[in-house]
Amino acid sequence: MAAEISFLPHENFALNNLLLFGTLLLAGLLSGHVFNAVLRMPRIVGFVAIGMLLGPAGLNWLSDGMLTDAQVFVDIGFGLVLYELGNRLDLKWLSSDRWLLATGIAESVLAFICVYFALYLLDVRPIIAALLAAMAISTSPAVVTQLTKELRSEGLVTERALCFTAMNNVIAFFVVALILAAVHLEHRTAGMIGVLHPVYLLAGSALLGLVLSVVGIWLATLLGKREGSHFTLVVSLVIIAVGAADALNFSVLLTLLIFGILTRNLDKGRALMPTEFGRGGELFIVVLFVVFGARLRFDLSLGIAWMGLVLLIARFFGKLIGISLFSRTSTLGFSGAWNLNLVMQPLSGSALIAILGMTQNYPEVGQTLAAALMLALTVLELASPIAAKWGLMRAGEVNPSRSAN
Amino acid sequence: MQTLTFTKSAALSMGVELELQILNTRDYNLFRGADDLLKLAAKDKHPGDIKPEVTESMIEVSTAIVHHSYATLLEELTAIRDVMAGYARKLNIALAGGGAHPFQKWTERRIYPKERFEYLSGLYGYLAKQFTIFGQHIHIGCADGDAAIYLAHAFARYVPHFIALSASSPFLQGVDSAFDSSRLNMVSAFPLSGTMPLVKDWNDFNDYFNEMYDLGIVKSMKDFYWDIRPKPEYGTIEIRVPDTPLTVETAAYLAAYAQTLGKYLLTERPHEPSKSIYQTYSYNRFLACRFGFDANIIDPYLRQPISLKDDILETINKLMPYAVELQTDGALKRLFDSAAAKRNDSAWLREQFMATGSLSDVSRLQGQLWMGDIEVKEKVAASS
Repeated sequence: MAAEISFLPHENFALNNLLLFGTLLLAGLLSGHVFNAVLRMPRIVGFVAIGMLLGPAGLNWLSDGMLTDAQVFVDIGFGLVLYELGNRLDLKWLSSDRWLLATGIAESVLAFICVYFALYLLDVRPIIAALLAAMAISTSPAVVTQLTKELRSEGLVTERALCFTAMNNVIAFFVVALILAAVHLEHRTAGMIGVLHPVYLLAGSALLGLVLSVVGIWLATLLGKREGSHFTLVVSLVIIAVGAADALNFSVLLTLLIFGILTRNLDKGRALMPTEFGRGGELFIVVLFVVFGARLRFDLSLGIAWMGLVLLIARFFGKLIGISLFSRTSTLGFSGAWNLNLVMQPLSGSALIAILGMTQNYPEVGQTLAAALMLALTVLELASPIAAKWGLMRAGEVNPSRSAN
Repeated sequence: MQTLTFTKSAALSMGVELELQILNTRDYNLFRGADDLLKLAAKDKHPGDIKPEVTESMIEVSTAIVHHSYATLLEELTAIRDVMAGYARKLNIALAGGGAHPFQKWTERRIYPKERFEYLSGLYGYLAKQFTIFGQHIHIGCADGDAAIYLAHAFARYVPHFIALSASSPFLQGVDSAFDSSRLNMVSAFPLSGTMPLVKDWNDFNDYFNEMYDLGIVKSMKDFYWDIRPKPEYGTIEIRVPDTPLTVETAAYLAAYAQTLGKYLLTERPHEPSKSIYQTYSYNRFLACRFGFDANIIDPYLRQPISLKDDILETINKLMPYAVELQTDGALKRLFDSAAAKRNDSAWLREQFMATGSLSDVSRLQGQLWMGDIEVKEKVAASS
């Protein structure tokens, strides 16, 4: 038996990328099914929960290394979500209904103010508080788009939720960039670089988004109107966008949002047919949520839980006040504003990751606050899809009849 | 014993109801916006009446005033159109004419939460959602019930005209149905559709209604889905056959046509109602829906085929003296030109599909046309 039996698999083989993707998908599917069919919760909650169970905070079957490997799938899923969300932002609507624009801005501004004030009361340093408050502005694009699709919700609360989500993600991005510029300046980080970096990020991302939307519309005109080819066109451009933004160190979030927004608003001749990612895109979305769940860490010391709760409540009321301010000028009314606010509660996953990342990079944040934030965010990630579903149901926008497929 | 009292109203006055499509401005599929439109209207002083319909992506607008002249009718319809278009823009939705939505799936529709509609949904099952079709109802005032009964029978001979002139539902569930008006096939599915029986006057009609009431088949006039139906509360005869035209102007032309026809029929009484009309009625109705102006209908009195286009042109020529008197000649001229060129709204919709290759685009253009953002250039050129 001199020759080594080399055709057998090595022991301890690492979960290669295909196995990883497939496993995450399957785990998400099964968990989502259990949460939906048995617990009557949105499937998203199941995706996140299984991620939490399998990730480093739980059984650690999905190690940090594997999560890094899975990032490419997450990026594609996130790209599809952001493109679709950007596509729902109709600038014409915002310009024809000024109160709508005002409401979108108000909910962002008031969320910021309330969270900042709450953190100030908790003795957090102003710059940190400002960064965290800015990140808290954004609503999760993935949760809102996925939930509205799963529930087949239709109506003006759904439309406004998508519109404001697109808006608040753009606003949050700009505010964060501005604050980071201020941070750089404060630390006098290598002079001009402090200002150049945010400018590079903003202008570069916007430009890339613009170029891609122009190319997309042009190619769609060339291809003519056949639904099938447009779907492939959009998916390929989204993947290119994600890759290019990554390679050029632009913001994937802003690039894809701008790409989606401009495709909707520049395409006067409607060359590009509206695409829904449906079944195909959902594969990546499942993996996206499972990985987010796995990245959550939580420390169940209830002593600091109240701090996180304060943040969540501050954000809740900030958004509620912002949405309600002008609700009488629209058909929303206060009841509608309450429902819309529930739908807006999910926090952007990328904001969440950024916040967690920040707590590691800025020791000034403090251990206590970091733990409180993580707990609060974990709670939010699990509870907010349920709250959002409740909001849509109260608004009467969920389709009661589910078709056979 | 139910006695239906026929409210006397001004003879040959006109009223119009239009059922409109509510569309989203993304892919221009049907969208449940009725409630939000109604909420906006409730807060505002607006012309006309605005009411929900059986499913949430339909809205009905109607003239609130009784009109004696085509000019004032067109004025009110235009005012209603402008106000509704304003509400729609504010909600980022579109409103469109057309007898049916080109690619909606009836399974996705939702019943409007009102007692009457929930009752219909319970009774008629899937038919209630399939009834997401959009028609124009023309009311013609009658001096008494007997005149209404006479007109109901007399108008029946001209139903193919109203069908061909208004047809705007060639596409259904994403395909060309080969019909100019596919909408009326949905109406036919209902048990109480069809035509009024051959009653001779209002008393006779009352007896018939009482029999149906006592049998438990109907509770009120609303349960009859006839193509032409008396409306005793308004004192009118209601023509329910036309598809909702793509513009309010065409809707006004059709009402003017009904008014002028009514005047001609009541003045000259060319034929007394007889079973001849109803022998050929269903078949002619089908031919008009299927072939539009190209149909060869059977003249019930001459007992021979005639091209629907020629029948319309001859009728309009015959009506011209009355049209001049009623000042509806401009409207009838437009209808004459449409028939002569064999161009109805269905033809326009098919052309748009040829040009764009996308029913989503056709739907978008339908919305722009109804809301007044674009015009049908060819129609303008034809009559100049």
